[in-house]
Amino acid sequence: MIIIDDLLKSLKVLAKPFDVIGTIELLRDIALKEKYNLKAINNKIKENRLLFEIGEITEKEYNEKRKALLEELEKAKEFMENLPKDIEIREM
Amino acid sequence: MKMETENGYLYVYGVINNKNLKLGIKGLKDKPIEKIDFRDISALTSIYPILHPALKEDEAMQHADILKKIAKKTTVIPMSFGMVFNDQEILEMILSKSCMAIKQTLALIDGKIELGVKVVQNQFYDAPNGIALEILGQLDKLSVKSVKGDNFSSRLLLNHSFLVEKNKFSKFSKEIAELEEKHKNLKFIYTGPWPPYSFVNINIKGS
Repeated sequence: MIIIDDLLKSLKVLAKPFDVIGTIELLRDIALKEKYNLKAINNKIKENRLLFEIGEITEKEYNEKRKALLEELEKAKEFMENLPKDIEIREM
Repeated sequence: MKMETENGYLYVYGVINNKNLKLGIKGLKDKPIEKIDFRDISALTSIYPILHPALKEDEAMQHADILKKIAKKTTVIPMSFGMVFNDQEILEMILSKSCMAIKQTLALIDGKIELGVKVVQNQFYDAPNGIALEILGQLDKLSVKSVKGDNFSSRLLLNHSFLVEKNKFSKFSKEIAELEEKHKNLKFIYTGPWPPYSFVNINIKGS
């Protein structure tokens, strides 16, 4: 399990001891970036195909994962489209 | 002669400089592919119902398949999926503006094909440093040019496209087979021949 402090350290972020709101906002932003990173989802779709092509996963596994990833991609796109204009999520 | 576009728009697959070519290939939506000549180049087009097509996997695959068939017959500058023009007049205007770049690109890719190579590491085996460069070096010797593709997975050791003279195709394939034999812990995904998508940089816009 990732401890919040470790996560922040890994991102080279020093949280002020009592800046709870700041920390929560930062964690929310990190979570959103992780969850809605379109490039990362697209990469997973390509990797899934790659693993199928080299015979490491079965067609059934490939199709199931592909379906899940495409749904994730759609949700991410929808989320990005509905973001308020003053919020920007950059792809990492 | 103007191509009839009353029932739709003009979808462009690519540009060639072979006016005498008999295509006999069906395009998207089963519409015949027609040539629209402009000076000594021709755009390969078919009627398409909408101006801004959404990217659909099956149509994108068909687009690639159609271009593969065209590339077997002649040198073609491939267009990416979804290049649609309002009418012939606009297309001709674009062709006139990019004619010089198109001719230069056609000269560069004439008689050449694109081959794709992906080398994947086994999940239980970390390839030693330098293997990727060694493989790339061997393949670069047989190609005119190569470009690096997207590094979309940590399992990918190499993802490159190679522009290869048609007459070196079998030599290139033999080299791949030898590399596969030598590096049994790696998986090679070898694709093509493709029209040289990765080696053309002509960006023309639709409507």
